[in-house]
Amino acid sequence: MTEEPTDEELLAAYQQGDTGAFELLLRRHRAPLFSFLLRMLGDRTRAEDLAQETFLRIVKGAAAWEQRARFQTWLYTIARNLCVDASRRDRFRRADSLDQTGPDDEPPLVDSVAGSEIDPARGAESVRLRPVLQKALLALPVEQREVFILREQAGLPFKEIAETVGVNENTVKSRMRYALEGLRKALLAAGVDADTSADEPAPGVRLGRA
Amino acid sequence: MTHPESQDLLLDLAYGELPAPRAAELAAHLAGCAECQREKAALDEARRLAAPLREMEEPSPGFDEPILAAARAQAQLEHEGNIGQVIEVQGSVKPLGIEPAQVDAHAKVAAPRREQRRPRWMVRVALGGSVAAAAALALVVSTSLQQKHEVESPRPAKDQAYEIRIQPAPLPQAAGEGVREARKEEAAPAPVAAAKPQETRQPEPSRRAPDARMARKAAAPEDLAGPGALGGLKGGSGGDALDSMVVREPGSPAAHPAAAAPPPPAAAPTTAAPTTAAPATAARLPAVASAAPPAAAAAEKKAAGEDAPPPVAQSPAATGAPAMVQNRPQQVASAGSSQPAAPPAAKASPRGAAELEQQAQEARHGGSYPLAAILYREAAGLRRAETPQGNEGAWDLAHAVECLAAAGRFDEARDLRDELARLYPGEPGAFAAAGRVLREVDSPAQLKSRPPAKAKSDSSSSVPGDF
Repeated sequence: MTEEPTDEELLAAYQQGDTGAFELLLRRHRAPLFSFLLRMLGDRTRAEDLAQETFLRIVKGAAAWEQRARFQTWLYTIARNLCVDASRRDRFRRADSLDQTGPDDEPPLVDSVAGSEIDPARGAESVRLRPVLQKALLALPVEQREVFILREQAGLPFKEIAETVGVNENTVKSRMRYALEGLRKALLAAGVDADTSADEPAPGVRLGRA
Repeated sequence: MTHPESQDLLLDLAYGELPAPRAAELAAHLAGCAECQREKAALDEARRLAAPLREMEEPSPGFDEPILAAARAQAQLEHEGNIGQVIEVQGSVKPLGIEPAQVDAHAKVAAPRREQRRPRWMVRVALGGSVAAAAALALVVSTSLQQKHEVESPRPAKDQAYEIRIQPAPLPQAAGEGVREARKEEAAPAPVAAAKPQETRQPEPSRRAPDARMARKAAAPEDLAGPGALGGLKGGSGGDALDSMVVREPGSPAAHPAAAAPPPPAAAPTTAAPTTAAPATAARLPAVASAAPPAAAAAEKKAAGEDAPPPVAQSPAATGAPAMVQNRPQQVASAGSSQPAAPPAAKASPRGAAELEQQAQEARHGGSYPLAAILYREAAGLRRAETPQGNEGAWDLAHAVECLAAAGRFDEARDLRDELARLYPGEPGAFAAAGRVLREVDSPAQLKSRPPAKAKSDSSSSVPGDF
């Protein structure tokens, strides 16, 4: 790992015209970024669109990039903003008709998770659980959701999340606590058993680089 | 370590963000504090429960390609200043009568670095600012020329995908003469794409050769912001690629309106003239030529094989004025997304307002909000042209506002809403409806906390990617 170039080095190389460096960067971050968006949006197609869009913006902005922020932070900031844009548009879309009184931007109720069919008896492996979990995740307020995913899945430390989201670190942590608590309750209510989910909480894995 | 301190740090501990010495202190406190233990247990449990969400997912196999293509093109642009390769662009936009278009991007063009809003991503990223502008123009040009030949033929399936091939200039010098010659030879293909931009701003019929270099200059910010097709570059602001794709095209006057277009002659790609029925443009071409730099226009004339018809006096192209044509609500909203105005003459168009409304609705239901907005605006224009005293256009405009908002183009939506209020003061209902969709955006209570240094706004116009 130590010999691998950092994201920032790769981007600098791309600034010099080394497209191979960019390719590496892309390969390094595509799955994590896509996963982040997928968890945020709960929709593969849209997640993929936004992930592509994010990288295209990186391409576009690469020349002007000045290493003032870590690449990863930049990447997720773009993606996160695209997400916010997208969900804002969604609210309008949902109000498909002008006759409706207004967009309903209430997230689905957590309760709805409880109704889903989970086999409380065992063997509910993570694949089968995932839709339930995703649903619970989507039920979180978006501020909590993004913090949760950025930390838990993208592996950004709280400090970087703060930068990405634009709030201070304490706020990030408090959102994280709410998110964890909200998820815990929702999942327990839905009959998800901690033992079926995973054995160990892995420490947030830092992606891509040492 | 105090209890409150400990509580603060439990989360850091859980995520391995605590330096070893602090972790040790915390562990010591934990050992004797039941409350902290409970809290830690809850955190751990939550993480265990949610563990499957941590699993990484892969995007589909074709994911990388467009990105890498864009990356290569951008690198090439920035390091060599040209596009040395063929770039193929495929889209699934419903082209509303536009057949597969051929784009010939000639000039070597250096992309001006400027604030870019959401253009059609593939072309744009692959090509950079002014080239993309040129490509957009060329698209207009060629599609409109093509229309000439196809006016009679039935329109292609609405959702037919199209393909654009952009090739390097066969004549690298791409200067006035050369281009014109080349054009003459090749008859139909798109006239000098890159040469178009300055037409919007060159009222004096000077001798300036519309060569590529000039185009580059002309594509400077003000011009890009100017009326007409280039506005399309700035017009889009929504979020996803589809939006931008749709946005870009409508941005160019002649492009969409195959839709708005009445039948007759070849639609001329007059950049800034969203005026008279696009198709009527073959006629218009020469007119523009007279008002704009002659060379390129001449080339087009040749290409179009038309003779000079009536000048289009009010064409914005001629005046260089942004498209503030009165009674053309759809123009007013923004030069940034100028559309082919539905001219009064369009009354004769086979495509009535009702048909447009129908299509707009389909587009809207299909999620093509930018397109839907355009169609609604056209419909509104028609309605108004047909019955200036009527109020039917008001609701079309309200729908257009809604669609613009849905596309994330809030500024345009606001402008259009205001326009709606001006044009239809007697329709508070439509105005209120239009206002409703914008209420949320207007209110500052948005979830958007901005990071300090970057990412100022989540409106796509200033996403960090654009700094």
